[in-house]
Amino acid sequence: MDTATQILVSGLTLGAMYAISTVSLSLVWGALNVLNMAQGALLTLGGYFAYAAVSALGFPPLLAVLITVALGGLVGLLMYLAVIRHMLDTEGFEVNVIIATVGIGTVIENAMLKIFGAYPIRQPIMWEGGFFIGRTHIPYNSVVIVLASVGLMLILAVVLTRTRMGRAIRAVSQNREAAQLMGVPDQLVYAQVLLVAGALSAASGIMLSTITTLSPTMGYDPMLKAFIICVIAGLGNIAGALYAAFILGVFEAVVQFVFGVRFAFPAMLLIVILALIWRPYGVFGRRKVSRL
Amino acid sequence: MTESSLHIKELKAGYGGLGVLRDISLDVRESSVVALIGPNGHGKSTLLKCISGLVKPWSGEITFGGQSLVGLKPHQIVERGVHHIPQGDLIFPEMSVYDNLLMGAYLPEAYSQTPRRLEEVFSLLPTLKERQQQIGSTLSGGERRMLSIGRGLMGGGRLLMIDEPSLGLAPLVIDQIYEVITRLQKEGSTILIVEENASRIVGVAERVYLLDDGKLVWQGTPTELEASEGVLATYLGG
Repeated sequence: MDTATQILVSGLTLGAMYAISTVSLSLVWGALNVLNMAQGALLTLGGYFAYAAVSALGFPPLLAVLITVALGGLVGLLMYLAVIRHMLDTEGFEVNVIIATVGIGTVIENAMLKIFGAYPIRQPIMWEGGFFIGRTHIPYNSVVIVLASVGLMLILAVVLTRTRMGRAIRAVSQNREAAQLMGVPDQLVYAQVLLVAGALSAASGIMLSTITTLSPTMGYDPMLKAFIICVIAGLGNIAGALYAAFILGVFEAVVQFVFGVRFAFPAMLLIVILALIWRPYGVFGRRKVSRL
Repeated sequence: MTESSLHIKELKAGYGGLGVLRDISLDVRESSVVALIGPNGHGKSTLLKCISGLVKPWSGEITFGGQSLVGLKPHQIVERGVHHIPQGDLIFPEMSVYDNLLMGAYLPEAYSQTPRRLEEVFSLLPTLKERQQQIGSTLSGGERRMLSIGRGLMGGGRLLMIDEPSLGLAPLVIDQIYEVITRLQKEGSTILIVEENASRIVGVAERVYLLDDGKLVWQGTPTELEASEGVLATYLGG
């Protein structure tokens, strides 16, 4: 019983963190057909920003988190304005933009390496302590991560389904040409999507850094997992990404406990292979997605 | 009311290196219905796409209300009151019928009119009202077409371009759509329709242009078209 609770808590915490990162990836893919390989670097950036805001600039943690999320959005927007915008509608866009985002990611990671050094740093922003359910210790930090993630997802869901801006984002993702004929300025939607994705990534990065440590390459592993979750959910399918993130988070925790930490990643890859054989458009996917 | 006449002069356009439209010149007077007919695959849809900005013309002029539309982005053209209801089912497949209709009223000006327009569209196409909450991709072909037209009417454009209003719809629904077209025209809208079925536009359109192989080969009134059997036989097979 206690073990099960422990696994569940750790799985849900992982799932919550993956969910935000995956939804961010999925949003960008859905609207722009851009596979954002800088996603991992955006997570890293979020973690370090928050660390620097608290330890170097002395901001209170909550303020540091808010500023970091805002800055993440700004970096996403800059990525769009400075790079992606100029590549839209050019030949070979889908492949070229992958290479461009790999480049952006590399620059960000190496900037972090240069500024903060290669040694792992402990993230000062975290909710210390915890409580017990039975004999299982539940860290407050996990509770905060799950609640923050669910909260962010709810806000995103409301924005996407209930607001004019959100409907425009979904419209562009589903049929760009038709959306243009409704008067939706597609460039504005792309900018909004990158802004939201950058902000979500930064939030996910802070969460990640509280359960591991800060290092320039810390975003790499969660980015791979976000890709895996996207493949399983169906790229561009946001609701599916959310379910898949939590399911895979718990799955990872179970595999880590039963078979050992080193088997978690291969097990996830196995699921991807099965998903690609069984439902190549994603377990939650309804329509065919384009292939690169 | 701002002037809403459409003038096209010596328009050339195509895809890649392949020319589709060759020196098209046509005029749509304010508050009139003009029909564009001709065999399939001869550039009618491309012409509408040029006007709405989805296809960039190679050369020539397109002016609406005295202002050039060439070089504007599609959303800027919609903002000027030119609304294009495309052929086929360019609906938003993963949105409900209701959300699809709301997207039709995306521009702020139209958005404030949403309740009134929804009522109009629902009274015109009651099927859409019944299926409000249904997801777009689950609609039948005819229902998608109705949704596409209903969505186009939500915007309240000053120039409405409808690509094949009758394609894939039941005769009764087509009659209703044409009634709406006539009513909109009486209320002051300018309308350009692409139609395969020449008999449909009699009594609706003021002027007919016949497009064949990317060129305008005939123009006149629908009555003249009916009278000139040669034109009908040559281009429309009867």
